[in-house]
Amino acid sequence: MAELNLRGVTKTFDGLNVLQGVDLEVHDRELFAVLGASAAGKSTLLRLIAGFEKPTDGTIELDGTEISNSTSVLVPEKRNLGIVPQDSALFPHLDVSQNIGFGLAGLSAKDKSARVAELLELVELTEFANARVDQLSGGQAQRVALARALAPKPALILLDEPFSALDAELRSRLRQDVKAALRAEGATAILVTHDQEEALSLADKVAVLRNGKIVQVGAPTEIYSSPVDVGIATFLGDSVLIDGAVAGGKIQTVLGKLTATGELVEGQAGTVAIRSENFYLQPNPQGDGEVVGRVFFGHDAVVEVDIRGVKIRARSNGPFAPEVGMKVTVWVRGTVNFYPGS
Amino acid sequence: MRKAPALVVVLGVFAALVTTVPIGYLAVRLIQGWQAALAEILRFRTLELLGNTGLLVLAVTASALVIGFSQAWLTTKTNVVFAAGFAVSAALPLAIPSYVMALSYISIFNGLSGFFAAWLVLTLATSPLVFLAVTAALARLDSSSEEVARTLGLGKLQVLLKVTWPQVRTAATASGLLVALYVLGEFGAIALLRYDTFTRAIYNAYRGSFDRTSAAALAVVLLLITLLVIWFERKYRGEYVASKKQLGKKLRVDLGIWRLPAALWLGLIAIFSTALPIASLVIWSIQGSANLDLGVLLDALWGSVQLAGLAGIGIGIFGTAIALWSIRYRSRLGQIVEWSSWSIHAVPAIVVGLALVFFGANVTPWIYQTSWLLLIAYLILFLPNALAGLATPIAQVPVLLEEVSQSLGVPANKSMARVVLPIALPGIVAAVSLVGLTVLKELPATLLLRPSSLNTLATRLWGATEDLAYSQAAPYALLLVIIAGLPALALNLQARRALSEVRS
Repeated sequence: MAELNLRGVTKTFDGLNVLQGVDLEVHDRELFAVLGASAAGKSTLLRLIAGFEKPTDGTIELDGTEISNSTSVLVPEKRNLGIVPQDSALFPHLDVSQNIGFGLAGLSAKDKSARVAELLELVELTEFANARVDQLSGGQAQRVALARALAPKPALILLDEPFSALDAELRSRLRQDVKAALRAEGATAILVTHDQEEALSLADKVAVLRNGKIVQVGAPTEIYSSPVDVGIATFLGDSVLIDGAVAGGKIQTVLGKLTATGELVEGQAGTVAIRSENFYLQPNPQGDGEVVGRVFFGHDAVVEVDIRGVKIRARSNGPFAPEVGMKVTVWVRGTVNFYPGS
Repeated sequence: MRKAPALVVVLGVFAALVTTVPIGYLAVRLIQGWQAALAEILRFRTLELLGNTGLLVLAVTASALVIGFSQAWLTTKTNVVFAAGFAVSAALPLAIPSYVMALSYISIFNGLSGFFAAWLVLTLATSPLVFLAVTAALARLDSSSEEVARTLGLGKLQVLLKVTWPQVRTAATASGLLVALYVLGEFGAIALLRYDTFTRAIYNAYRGSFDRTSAAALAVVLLLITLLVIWFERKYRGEYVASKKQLGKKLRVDLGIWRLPAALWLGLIAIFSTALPIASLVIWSIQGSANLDLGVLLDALWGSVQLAGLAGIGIGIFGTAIALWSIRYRSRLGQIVEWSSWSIHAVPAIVVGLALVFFGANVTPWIYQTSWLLLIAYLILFLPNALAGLATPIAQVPVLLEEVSQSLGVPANKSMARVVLPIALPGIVAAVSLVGLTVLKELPATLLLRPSSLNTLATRLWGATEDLAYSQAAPYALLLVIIAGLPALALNLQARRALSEVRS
């Protein structure tokens, strides 16, 4: 069982609020991602959970036991959690097996080597058991770091941007490997990252951290399809923002009448956020949109359309995307998000 | 935020007390008997010593700067022949203790003494300090600024004066002050060459009478002059330019017709600073080998090695504790301890020795004239060196590794032992070895404080030269160069870096 609870956690450095009243609930065997831009307070959050920093206010509980409050902090070595840092931070004076076995205290030599072998297999590095750590590639080092953190069967694994130092292709492969390893160990994990694709593809639940505050928590699809405000809507993937007003249960915009989720108050003005993949561009010589730009990515393309003075960016099927100068009619598929007032 | 382990605190505080109390005691005793001390100082003799010392310090500093800078510039920045070979020979005198250099000169030129002799020997012994500092600064220099100056119409000499020199001036000034401190504290060479400066006068006053007020008063004057120079050093040391990545090929000045004269100049320095002394030592050693008492030599070698080993390990333990304290657990007390250990650096060994004689005889008679007091002297003298060498390997271990270790269930103090110390170990061993080798060469404090039954290579050498028995002294000198000087030079990081930069 592993249940982590943060209640009203605030951290102040030199009078500056790095974290402000953070509440989080992480359940057993959950893969929980904290998504935030740089300087949002992600690393501080992890250091607080790990016990390297003391909260200015608020409490942290692990399995119902309070491990941090503003007056006392349980030392890191008694918290029963593992960390996987950004640059893996393997011990340079130990080989791969010794690194993985570092935290295995109180086991017999036989049990210890059995556990190390088990983890080597889990991260597919059995043939590197006695390799020096400076001979490993970035991805291998990161897998050793994961195995090292998992070895003592901690209640909680903390992953601090573990893939950011790797190149794109390796990153997506390792992501799935790590997810599989965590699942196989039945681990509970918190991942902090600035990469929304990483958070959405890896986690069971995502919390968005902005300027030291948690602004939204939910399943990846929920976060992506219904961002609670315009800021998150633009942070998570491409969104086009246009002005609109509620009229007859629909949102009246320059693109026509759109269907919005949530409750609407008649006559209210606000901003509509539309995902760029929700646009459909129909080539039409009489259309009132004109293609003014196109960036080709292979599998798809981003097409910039000027429609009655408003510019939108639409994601379109690569080879069939309309060319610059073509006239198009712009359709919006599905529902959009409406944010009154802004 | 983190609290330092009790062991670190105990070791650090003890070392700080040991390094500061004896010198404080010397000062307090003198202040109590200030009339007698003042009478000692206010004599014409003091003025004479001041003049002699000042003249020597200025002359040696100036000539060492000229020689060291010319060696550095010619080997790193010009197309002089055998640049790499000359660079090695420029650093080599560091392997020869200055009193050994003096001995080698006296044994060639019988009766060599006085100002000129002291100036020559100390210039040859200290110019490597300038050479190393300036070479490092030149290597960090971005050649493109020199190339730009050439395109703007400056000649080679103008580039040297207007572009190159201003950029290495801070390093050169700092090394010049280092030379000044070295000369101020130098005892062995000056005493052998019979030139009257403070250190020799202090030693003679100490040996010559039972009343040690005179020696102590002179020691305090020397201490004050040293502090003045340190103050200057701090003030004018300046900030080194942060090391930049090497940008392409280094520009080497074409010396043209000066290529040969420049090589001759470097060759001449090499002959005087290494070839001649070594040849002299070798020849006299061969002559002396016939009536060399091997038992006495081995006894002295054993004494030296024992002392150096004990001192190295002891200083290594205290130094590691202080370095850990100041780097890993920032605390007010830790800073005071580190600062107090540093503050003693560059205090002349003869002053430290005398302060310990006073302190030992009056306060701690149970360790007076035992090896313990001598080991304490080494701790005072070489702890700053050790701290400089120990700080880097410890600071280079990422704090993150300790945090990972703690998160894996290993408590903070144990993480220090399981993670930080093993990773820093090679650097710690190198620093400790360097300290041990430096202890082997130490002369003045050893002379003042050794128990009468204990002999070292340095004290045997000293005894033989006092009897003008150069052929007896030479084997000890040669042995010191081989077992202490050369390995120390090889371990010296700065020297290694300088040599590799000349070659590249």
